[in-house]
Amino acid sequence: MNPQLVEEIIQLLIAGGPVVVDFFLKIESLLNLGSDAKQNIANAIASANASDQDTINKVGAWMAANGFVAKVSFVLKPA
Amino acid sequence: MKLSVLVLSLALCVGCIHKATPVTPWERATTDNALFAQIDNSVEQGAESVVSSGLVSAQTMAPVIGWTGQVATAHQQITAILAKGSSLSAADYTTIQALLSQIQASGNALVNSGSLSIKNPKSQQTISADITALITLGNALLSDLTALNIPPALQGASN
Repeated sequence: MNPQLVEEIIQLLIAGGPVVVDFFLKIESLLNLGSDAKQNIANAIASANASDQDTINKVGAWMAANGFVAKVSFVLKPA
Repeated sequence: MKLSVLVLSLALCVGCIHKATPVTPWERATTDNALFAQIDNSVEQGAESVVSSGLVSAQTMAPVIGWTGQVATAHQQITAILAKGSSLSAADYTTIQALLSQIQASGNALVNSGSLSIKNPKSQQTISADITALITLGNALLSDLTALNIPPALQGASN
């Protein structure tokens, strides 16, 4: 990896603290693949599903806690 | 340079997905797809965080948080299509394209509303820039899928 890129990442991690470190580690784990392509694909699919479900759950909880009507059941329809 | 820009650079750079053997087109597509979901999740968490810290009102961030939920819901459909693997058809590609197009249109509308210049503590860049990064990643995903040559041949499909 480009040394300048590494330096910039380190500076961001220092500046951002634990929340950015957590985010970066998740991203890094996504970008480091094992040798088994089939397993990598399965892991990536599972990761996407887990992230999306977590987002939907958090949005629903936040909307309810703040008195908004959650519209997370809204589905974008293909044209 | 901000973290999400770095992340996108990593994701879009062929050599930056680390693997001992060559990365297949399917691995690239599904990895970018997972990255898309992770960044959407980080936008949601960041938007909640700026409300919790009192920097902006819940009323201001509600459209952003609602949008991330809608994106996640639509993205679940995209992931379900990708999970079909080698049975992915041209119609599936068109569906994914349409879903991403709608995510991009609604994301651009949100950015153009002009009230999202606050920094997301999760990504260390503005919420507006996060949404733009997500849109860019959607385009990268479409490019990945184009590389799969749908139809007739699906290169490297192994699931």
